[in-house]
Amino acid sequence: MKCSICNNRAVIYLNYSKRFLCKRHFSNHIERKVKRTIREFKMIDGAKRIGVAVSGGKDSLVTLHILNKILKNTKTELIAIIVDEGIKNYRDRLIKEAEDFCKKINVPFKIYSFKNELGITMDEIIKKKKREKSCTYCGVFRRWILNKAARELNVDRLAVGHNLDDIVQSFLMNLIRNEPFRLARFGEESGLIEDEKFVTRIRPLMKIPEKEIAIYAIVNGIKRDFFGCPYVEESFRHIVRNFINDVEEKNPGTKFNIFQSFVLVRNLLIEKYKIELGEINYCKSCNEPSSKEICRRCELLKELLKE
Amino acid sequence: MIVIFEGKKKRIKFSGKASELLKKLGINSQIVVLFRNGKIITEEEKLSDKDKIEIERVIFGG
Repeated sequence: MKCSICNNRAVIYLNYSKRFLCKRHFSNHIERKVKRTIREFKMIDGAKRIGVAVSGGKDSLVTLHILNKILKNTKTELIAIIVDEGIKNYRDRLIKEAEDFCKKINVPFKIYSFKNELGITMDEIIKKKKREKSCTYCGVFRRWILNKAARELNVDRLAVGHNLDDIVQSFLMNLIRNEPFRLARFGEESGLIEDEKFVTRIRPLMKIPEKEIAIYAIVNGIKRDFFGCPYVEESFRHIVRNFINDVEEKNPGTKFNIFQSFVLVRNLLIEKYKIELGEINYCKSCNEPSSKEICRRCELLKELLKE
Repeated sequence: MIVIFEGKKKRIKFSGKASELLKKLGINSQIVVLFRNGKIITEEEKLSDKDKIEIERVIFGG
């Protein structure tokens, strides 16, 4: 198949816009879209130093790659923040890829580990706990470390690799669970929580479908090996992901339509919950921002360490 | 044709569009990328029974 623009060999067919694109035109398409998203939501306006949460997976490497391209020859610095959860034969492989990639594109990086920051690795948590809650522990602890690391490294924005599929899945999951408050906290940036201890998160890839990120990573030599976490919970998100992918396959453009609804609903929810939220609290145990007296990280860690 | 998916190689009789091959195998196109002779191809590509196709899963949970 030939590129709809230049007649070179196509690497992708965009079903929702009925276009074939070659490596060059597809890469331009992705980079332009990310730039537009950054501009639209003023993600990096006034930022002197941006931290990028890098796991070594395709989404975070592509985020770092594109931000590095955009910020080249500007005064805004980039630093990669790598979190080592301690998952043998999985995270150690990805961390090696992340380190190599940072060196290749000349971006400084710093590694924070669960072991140093919390005293326990994911491998040790799994030995103590049932595997069903693995993503909860990992997600809560990783977010806590990333925010603390971002502050320590003096970054004024923290870029994460969330893509269109992640946002659309979370939106539907929150609707199904009837948790509209959570929706208000998720989106182009952190949304509801404004506090000097909370580093604003940005999601430059939030309008890019996950498969397109994978293809961008392959054709640009960013990543070639793909493998999943051995502890992943194949539960509710898995069902929602399959459902959305089935609908997308039959009705191309579905993910974009859900995303547009999400932006609209979220803006209304922010207005509603900002009034009810009041002031942010700090966790009595770790002093990090929290909506409750004791934050979720401290609650979970206490429960783990007493066993 | 020879199809390689999740490390398993199998021989099947097929010629037609790559998207139809995925349907036949019950694989959602949203989570995989296809390669022919090591080169990435689109789901609209016509495949012949002599092709060797690698279907690589690029999207996992988590």
